[in-house]
Amino acid sequence: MTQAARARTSAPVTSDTTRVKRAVLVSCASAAGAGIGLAALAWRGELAPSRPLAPPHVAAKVTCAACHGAASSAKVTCAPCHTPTLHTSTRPAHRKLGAAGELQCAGCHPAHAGFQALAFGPTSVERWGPGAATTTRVEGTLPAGQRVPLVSLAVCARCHTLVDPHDPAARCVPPAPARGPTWSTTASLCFDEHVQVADPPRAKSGKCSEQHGEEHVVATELAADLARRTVWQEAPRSRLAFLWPPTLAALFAAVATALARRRPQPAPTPAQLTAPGARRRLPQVDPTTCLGCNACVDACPFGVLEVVAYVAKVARPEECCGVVLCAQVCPNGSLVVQEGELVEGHLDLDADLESRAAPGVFVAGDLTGVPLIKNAIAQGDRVVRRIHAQLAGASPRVSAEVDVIVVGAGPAGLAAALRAKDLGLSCLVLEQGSVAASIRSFPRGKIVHDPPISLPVEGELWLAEATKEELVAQWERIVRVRGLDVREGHRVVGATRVEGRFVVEAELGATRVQLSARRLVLAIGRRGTPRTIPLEIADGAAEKVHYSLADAASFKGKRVLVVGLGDSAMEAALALAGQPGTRVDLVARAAEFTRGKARNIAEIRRAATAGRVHLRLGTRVLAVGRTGARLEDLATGRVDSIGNDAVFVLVGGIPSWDLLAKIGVVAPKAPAEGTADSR
Amino acid sequence: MSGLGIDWPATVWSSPLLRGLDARGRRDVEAAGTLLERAAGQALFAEGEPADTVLVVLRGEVALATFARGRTLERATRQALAGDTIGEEALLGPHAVRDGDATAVNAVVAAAVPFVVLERALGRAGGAELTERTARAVRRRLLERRLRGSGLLAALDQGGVGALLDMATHRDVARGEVLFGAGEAVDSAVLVLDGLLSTHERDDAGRLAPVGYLGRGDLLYEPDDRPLSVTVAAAGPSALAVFPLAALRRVFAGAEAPLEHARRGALPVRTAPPANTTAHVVRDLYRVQIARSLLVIDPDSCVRCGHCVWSCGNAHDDGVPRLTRRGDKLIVPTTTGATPLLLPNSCQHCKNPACLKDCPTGAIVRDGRGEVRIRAELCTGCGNCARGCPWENIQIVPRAPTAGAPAQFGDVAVKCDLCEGMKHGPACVASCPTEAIVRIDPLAAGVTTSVQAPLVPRARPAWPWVVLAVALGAALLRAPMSPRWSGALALASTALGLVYVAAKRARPARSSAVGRATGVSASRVRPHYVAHLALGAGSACAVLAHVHALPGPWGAGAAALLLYVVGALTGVLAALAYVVLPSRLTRLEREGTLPEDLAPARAANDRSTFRALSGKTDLVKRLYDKLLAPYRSRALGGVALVLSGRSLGGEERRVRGRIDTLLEGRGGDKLQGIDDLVKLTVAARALGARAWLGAPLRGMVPVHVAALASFLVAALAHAVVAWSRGL
Repeated sequence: MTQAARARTSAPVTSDTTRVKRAVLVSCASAAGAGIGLAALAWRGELAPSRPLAPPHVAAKVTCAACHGAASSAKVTCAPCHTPTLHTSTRPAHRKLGAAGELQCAGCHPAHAGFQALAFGPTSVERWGPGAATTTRVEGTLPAGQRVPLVSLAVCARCHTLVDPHDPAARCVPPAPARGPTWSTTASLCFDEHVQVADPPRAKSGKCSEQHGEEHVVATELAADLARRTVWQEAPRSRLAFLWPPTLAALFAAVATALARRRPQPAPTPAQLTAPGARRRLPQVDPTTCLGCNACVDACPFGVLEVVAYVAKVARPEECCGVVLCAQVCPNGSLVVQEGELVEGHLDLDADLESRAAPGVFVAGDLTGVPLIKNAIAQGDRVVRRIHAQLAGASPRVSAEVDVIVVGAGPAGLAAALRAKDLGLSCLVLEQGSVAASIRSFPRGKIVHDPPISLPVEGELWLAEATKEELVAQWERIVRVRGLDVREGHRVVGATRVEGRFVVEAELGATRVQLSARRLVLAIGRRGTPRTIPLEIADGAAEKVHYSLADAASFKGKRVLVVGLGDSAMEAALALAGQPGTRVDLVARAAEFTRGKARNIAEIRRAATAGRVHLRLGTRVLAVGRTGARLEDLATGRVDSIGNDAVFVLVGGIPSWDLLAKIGVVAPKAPAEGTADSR
Repeated sequence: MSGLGIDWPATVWSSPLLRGLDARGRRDVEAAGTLLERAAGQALFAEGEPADTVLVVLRGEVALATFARGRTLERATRQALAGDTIGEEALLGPHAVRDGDATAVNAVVAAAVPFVVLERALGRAGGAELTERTARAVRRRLLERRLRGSGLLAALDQGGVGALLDMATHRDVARGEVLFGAGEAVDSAVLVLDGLLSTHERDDAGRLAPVGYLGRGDLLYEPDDRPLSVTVAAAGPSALAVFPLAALRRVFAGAEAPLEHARRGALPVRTAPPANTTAHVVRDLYRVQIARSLLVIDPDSCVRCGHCVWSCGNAHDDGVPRLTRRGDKLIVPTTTGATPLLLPNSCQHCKNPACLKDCPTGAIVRDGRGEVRIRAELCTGCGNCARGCPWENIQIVPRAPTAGAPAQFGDVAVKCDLCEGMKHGPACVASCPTEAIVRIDPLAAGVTTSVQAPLVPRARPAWPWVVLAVALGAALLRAPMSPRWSGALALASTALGLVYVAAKRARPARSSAVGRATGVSASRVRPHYVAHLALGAGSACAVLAHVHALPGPWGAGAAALLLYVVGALTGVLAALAYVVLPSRLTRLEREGTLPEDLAPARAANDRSTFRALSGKTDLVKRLYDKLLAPYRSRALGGVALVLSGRSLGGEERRVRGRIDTLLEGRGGDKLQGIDDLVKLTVAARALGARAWLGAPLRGMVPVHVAALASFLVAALAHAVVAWSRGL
């Protein structure tokens, strides 16, 4: 029992650690970027929540904790520099509020926003705001060293209606041109809130004498004018600074994304199927080193190899297609593929599958020797690319001729036509039967296996693990949707070269048509025309003789005769035997199983033992009548008749060697024995 | 065990079994074999141990003892001297176990030859007849034991027993091999020496469904020559004794009662699956019967993180995980109902390893306890074992530079080695945060029938620790604490949560002591996960206390708070999802999947639907167009399925019911194939539902990690700012 090659489903290794890797990397990078941006802002004080302090407070190194700390109170903090108790208001109403605790020093003289003051120097005046200052040159003598605090009108506006001329505070408002945009950026012009002491009793020495005295009075008088002339000061707060964290975050994230992006995996190098060699290629096994590990047996899609007594051996050399899969999987090089005898009817093709004997004629598909659907698709594609390159520099085509004529609408032909369409070549497909006739003749529902070979399959022709019906349906859909010019029923009988062009002759029923093309692609496969056997067919019985089995289910309950012992005959017999009530006779001239897949042979034997298939080896069919058939035992010569409803002659096909010879691709010779199957 | 020198003494090659070997065979045998040295009184092997090797005594004397009735009765003792061969039971194949004990009488040197290598070498050299003769004797012994066990020999005299043993032919069958097809006449009786045969019937859809089993010692015997109504196939590699029916009847002439008694009821032996059981348990009973150590996942507590696979790869030098978290879900009946169980792809250390038999160089060996190991130095990477394993648990990977080997072999076979040499046992088990994955002995756990206790022990609970953390945190909120301390606490507890991340990523440590950790291994990550949850609850309290004490956050503090809220919310939601969603997800799964599998599964479902539709009747196609296709493609259909709370089976029945209502019982034969389509369509909708359930389960984690990582940065910036201000 051949064990099907089994491949473990490769599953990606995923875990939270891998799954989130990229996301976490990117978000951590962006978080780091944002963090760095925030830290930079914090460093520059942009984040300082209470905004900057007035220059004297900065000079005195007043910390946030001094005022906002849990243990601090205004009294303790301000006391070393300020004496609030002495500076009462001159206005009774304000004093009353002050006594009630509703109007305190900080109400008019805030430490942060709203603070404004003038500081006199010898030749200039500095206007202070929280964290900001401008210097204005002033002519004349100045009370250097004096400071006059300015109060924001916003403070007054809490109780007063500043625009009302009857309001006592209205006189403090500067005239319109000197006002700021709002009350909170406009300084009051009244400087009589506190008592002006020209010669204070306690101002002889110490702090009071610095702040009070004649010079202070002068300073206060100048202040009203200077307050109008200088603008409101505030710490320059760059709005753009706040763009730093998001910008850095985005930048870091972009870098992380680029780093985390997986490098594209290099595409697996496709197995290069070169042009068919002149000699047969067959595996050779060294029995002294062969491990008997079955790797080659499982790799071979055609059951060529077998392991006997723990050593691999070539059991069915005629099935070998020369692809070196077996040699590739051999672990210790015991199996090598070597060239053997000359191939009969060898097609002499160059690397682009163009015939050396007949330039301009290309060959694609099974005819090149590798019977794989995927290979046929790849070759059809490759051939047309080459034609496109050739025609690019050639003279333009004349009317009533096409660029490419493709003979055969199988996988290679359709792939060629599709590629031609894509490349803008005019293309005609001539098919003697219908689209994908060879695939159509597969047993119903057969899974068209994906062969174990890594071929790049371009385009839409391939369907992984499709049944035959799906594949045919898909191809028919493609022909319709893509508008391929497929002419069915055209049997090409010859082609001649006329001045570098090909005139293709085809039979359409009884009529003959001639078509002209610049290049010719032969994608006719190896199936050719089904082989027939000499049979005496009674009148009216011709229609019950079939040369392919398309749908076993339609022979339910019938008596069926299958002639042949190749894989297609055995598979057809098994498919028919699976139908309820169908009697299957499998008839072959051979006395023993000589070819075919081991699995099929084993299945047939089992079915024969179980009585599901009546196996008659060493027997030939003499005649087919309407309701029966006559069989002859070759060994004994005994002739008997059986009841019969349908006959399947599945003895392989005759490849179109005549056509190939006529075109000049191969030398003319006697028709070779065709292989039983084309896949 | 230690190999001595390069060349084995000539005594080995002159022993009867090995005499036929050629030079290459000797080389192969020597490479795979070992020379054993035993002092007087030490055992060479003991009864019941796996018998993979044939031993040739080179020096000294070995006492062989066989027992009966559970080692109470010593049946026979014989002595083996230099040149003698012992342990021929190995000829029976991988299912063979030692017949008795072999103990060294004095200092003994013996060559242990793996039988699989010997068999191949002899086969190549043409000396197979020699082993065949020995094998016949061994098989005869085994057959007699099995026949006695089945009670067939009780009624026979000595001559009858001899005749019975003589007529039996031995047959080895591979998994899946069909012995008798339905409708075939049975011309022989079959006694199962080892392994498992299954009987199949065609179900309504034409598929083969297993309906019964024949295990070790069971007899397949048809008293009247009726053709079988069932197909009999090997459920796994099995050894059979085949008796010609006519000859068997002659031996039991007139007294067929023992035969009747020995055969397992009237075929088909019906072991209908118990209620609430999917077919899986029955379909691959062989797997469960043959596994020594089965890796199982409790899908109801598995959070689909895939961390087991990741850590498996991490535990090995080549980084290739020996475990795939896919595989069948099966429903195991318990005394209280049914519990789902997932069998991921990982070596189950079979009692009858197919890989061992398939290895051409003897690189696959078993130790005394039956644990299957691959000797990398002998492995050629040919892949025969990987193809032989019915459950695809062996992989062929490029050889890591450290795995010493002949340079010519670039590949090596790898499989679960139970994390040999690891300190904390299998990495997959040690790394599971929810303790959902364990290794069990399925027969001991009674997976085949019904189980008393949960197969996967309940995870250590996390909630008491979370409650404790919340209680402590609440106390913190009430206690007067300066913002500085509460802030530091919040920062520290969140940063400590990173330990869980580190613990999850940690590469398992190799034990300094050679050998594997003994005892039941438990998750090493689970305690970290529990601590992580408790820390999370605690840090939330600390953050609350910190914010509570301050007038209002600003700047970096505000950013940090925002990030914390996002991180905490996703954390809470993820933790809730971990508790609530897995069991819901299990109801919508038929196989083990990770979030990454859903997209490929959808594509596969599309293809299968396409395939299932081709070749169907117009009625089925119309039903699909009018009913199933809209059902399949309806927007938010997955959400509807989640909200309905139905399981896959329930939903299938509902959809099928709608079809039946629509057709009012018409259709009949024309409806063939509709069940498959319904199944596929419901599975397609379930894929949507699983995506919806998977999003909160796995999607929260990246957000949680990113938000809290950003929180840590922002909180640190906030702390630096506050510190610089002297707060």
